[in-house]
Amino acid sequence: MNVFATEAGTDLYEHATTHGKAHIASLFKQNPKRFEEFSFSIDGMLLDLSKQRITHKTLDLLCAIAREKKLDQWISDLFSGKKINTSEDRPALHTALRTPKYQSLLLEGTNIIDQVHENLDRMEKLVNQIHAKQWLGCTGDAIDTIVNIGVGGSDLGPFMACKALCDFTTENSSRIDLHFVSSMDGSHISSLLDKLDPTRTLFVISSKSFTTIDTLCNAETALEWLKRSYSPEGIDQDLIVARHFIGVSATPKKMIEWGIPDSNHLYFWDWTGGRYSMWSTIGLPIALRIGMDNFRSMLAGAHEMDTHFHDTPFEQNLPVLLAMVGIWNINFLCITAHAILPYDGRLSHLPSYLEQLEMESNGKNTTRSNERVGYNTCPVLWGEIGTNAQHAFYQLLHQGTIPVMCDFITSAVRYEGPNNIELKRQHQLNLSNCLAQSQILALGDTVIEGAENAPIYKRYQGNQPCTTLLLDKLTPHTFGMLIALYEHKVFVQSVIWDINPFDQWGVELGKTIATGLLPALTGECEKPSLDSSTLGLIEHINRTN
Amino acid sequence: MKIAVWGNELIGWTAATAFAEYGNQVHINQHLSKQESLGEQSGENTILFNEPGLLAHVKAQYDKSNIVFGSPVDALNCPIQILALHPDNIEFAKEIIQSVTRQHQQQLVVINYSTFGLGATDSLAELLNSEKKQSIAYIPDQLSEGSAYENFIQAKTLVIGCEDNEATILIKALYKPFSRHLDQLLIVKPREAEFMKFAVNGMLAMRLGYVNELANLADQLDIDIDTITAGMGSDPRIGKHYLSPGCGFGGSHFSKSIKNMAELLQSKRNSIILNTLLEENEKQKLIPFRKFWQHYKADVKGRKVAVWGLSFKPNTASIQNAPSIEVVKTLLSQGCTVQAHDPQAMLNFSKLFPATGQIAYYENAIDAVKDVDALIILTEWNEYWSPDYHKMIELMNNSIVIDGRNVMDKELMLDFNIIYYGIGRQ
Repeated sequence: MNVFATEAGTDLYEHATTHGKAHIASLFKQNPKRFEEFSFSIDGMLLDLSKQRITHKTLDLLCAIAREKKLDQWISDLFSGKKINTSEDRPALHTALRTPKYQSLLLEGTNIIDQVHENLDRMEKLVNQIHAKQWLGCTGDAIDTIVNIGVGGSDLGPFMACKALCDFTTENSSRIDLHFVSSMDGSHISSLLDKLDPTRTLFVISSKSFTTIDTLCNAETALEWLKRSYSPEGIDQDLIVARHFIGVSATPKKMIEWGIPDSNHLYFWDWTGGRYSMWSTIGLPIALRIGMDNFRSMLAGAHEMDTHFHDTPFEQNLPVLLAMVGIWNINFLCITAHAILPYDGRLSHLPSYLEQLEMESNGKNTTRSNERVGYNTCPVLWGEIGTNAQHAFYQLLHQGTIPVMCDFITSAVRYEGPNNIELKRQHQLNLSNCLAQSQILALGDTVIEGAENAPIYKRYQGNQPCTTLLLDKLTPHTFGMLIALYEHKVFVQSVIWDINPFDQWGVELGKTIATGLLPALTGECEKPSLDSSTLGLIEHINRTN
Repeated sequence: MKIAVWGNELIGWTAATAFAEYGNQVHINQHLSKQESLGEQSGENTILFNEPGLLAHVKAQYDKSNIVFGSPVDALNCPIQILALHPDNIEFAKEIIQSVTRQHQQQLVVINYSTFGLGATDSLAELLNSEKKQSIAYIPDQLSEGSAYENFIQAKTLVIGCEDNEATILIKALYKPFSRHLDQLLIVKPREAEFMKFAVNGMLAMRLGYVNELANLADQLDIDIDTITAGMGSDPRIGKHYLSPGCGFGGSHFSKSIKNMAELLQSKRNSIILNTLLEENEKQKLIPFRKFWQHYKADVKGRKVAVWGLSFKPNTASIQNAPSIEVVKTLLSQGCTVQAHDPQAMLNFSKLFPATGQIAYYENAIDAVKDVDALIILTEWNEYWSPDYHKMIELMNNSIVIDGRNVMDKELMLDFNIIYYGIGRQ
């Protein structure tokens, strides 16, 4: 079926019918130059699509679909600030967050690039103050412990980035102890507070609306902990909040209501989606971890990817190619599972970050014109550090019954210098595993001679489409490029699927129902009218308590 | 005897002067000209300038031609070579020994005063030719800044780390004029002498760190630390030395030596005992600031503060690792204005913090308290022990004294209605 009702879509459907079943091993046999012809690079990054089930014709038709879907116009609308987040009536301008100062972008008559840089400068001042031990708590002790309280986009991006860029701490930033608290049940914060010194701890409360219940209940717990610690000295709450809390939000009024004075505010805007916000002041923990120079280098890397995405023909455009090959797999080869496999321990949190970025953006069944889609959209994403996953779910990838597309992500160079010989060897071993796994997953056991004589339970069928993203080195700059690459990939797929990737209505109802159920659990409501399962569970919980 | 001295360190200048006074001819070789060394040309030599009286001693011996600023070639011919180099300059020490051994084919004694680290003297010994009776000794420097010359000529203990008998005899002869006050002469291996140096400094630092911790605890428990330390000091197993709490220790070589020992303990024993002590000492330096901050409930922006005492201890102009640096830096960063006084260290301090709208220097300590919201005392110079309180109160905007060295009398402060914060004297 031609899912997209376009001319190129029809051609691609026919192409899929005739060529879609070709095994990747046979594609390599037919064309020994697949790597040269299906690898694409920009400075610092290589995208190898040669282990995908594609030919030149496939790519040509995919790019033709992108053109028929007016992708170029959508890209232009994204960058120029058109209100493409239609259900919330606002633009999605994460690209503006990394636009250099000398450029401008008018939004309702205001140059938002100036605003972006004013806030970055404000954040830099704060970061430098903390790094210079000049941010002092109530007792005059310098703050050296930061706890970021946030959830979703206010947590996953900064958390993932801090881990990814852990090699880029500076002399001043390395003395900062950084923690992330997100879970609503208090299990993060309760175990953490026991280990912290209240006089040297600063809480960063990150919430776009500053009404997120998960975040605010953790913030309240933190405040009570500080109040208890300071009660012998008789220090009042206003002073505690002024010295130990920073608010990061798009809603300053709510921060004031919570008690945070405006001198401790960092801002971003409603045109910044939560899962696209680590480039804004939500990235404060990242800047605290790696310093502002490295943070700006990360922004510059993302901007380089933006420029590449905006200016490059589809046939050489990395985010477009990555996205369209995904469309081919999902909509023409019917693959609905996607594994994210970083071969670099520093990228351990990238899978969960991409789970949110991709599934919250494109996990939707409604078109922009409010109709049900007639095709698959976002696949199920999951992942793990590759070498660890080899001992977990790779069995399914190699010999299971479902097709899975795989992204292998790693860097060519790590552990430089004469003192790192053993670690460099470990990295080489890691790379050899990365290459071996993608080779077998794509080509199956054809990679060894005589495999056909092995018993069936030892056979590897292969033909799982694999992408390899190879960074020269993982640096703040290439990391910025990598994340922006995936952001734009998600955007391109949303255009093809005709869905709005910037809202998340699917997460709202749960919050409302949870608020409604709370009285039944706290005993404020005796016999709520509910389905028998939910009611039964509530009664069991209440009996157990 | 002809002696060559290498390096621009306090022990080098002190030994050069003392040896020159007793008939030796000393060649100074520190790659500085005589004019630079004696501060006649391009600013003062801080080592000599910071040490009271030492420059005059050096000049006197120079005038008598007992100290010579000769060419390195002359120095290389001297049969006694003294290394008094900065702890980081071991490579330079090796170069010197290699040059000396190339030039000098006869008997040679190298006296190493430099604290390069454990085993460093043995590694230098490998560059000497023992068949030609060339040997090396490590003598731990036991000088205190501010009284270096007296420490040297009236030493109570002399430790010679040397394994060569002839060299030891020569060194003992060289030290004879300064041995009258000796209680103990120890001849040990160089490695043992190096370890001893680190061990002594570490022990002293531990005492200071411990007493500071006790003082901070006493503050919280409403106990006067002076009573406690008096009791502790009366126990002969403990003694009275290094039992005064305060706002942290500083100085150049003491801190450096403890840092070296801390690194050694960490790498060999995975022990963090001295690292923790150093970290706590850094925090201790800011205790006076924290008392000021707490008094004003963090509302300190725009307040005027007098700081008395900038040198890391009295009787020196040196400000290396001094608490004043951290305190003043923090006061300025929090938007306070500083009015500073020190009998000797203001010139050095003003190089780090030039006089601007936010910091001013006063020749007279009392003048520095005019209109201030608090006085912070960081060094126990004699003149701060009993100032003109009446005038002080009259001049101060708020009569608050934060005494980082416990030099003032707490009871008297109460009589004067001065709000007083000491260390461990809550």
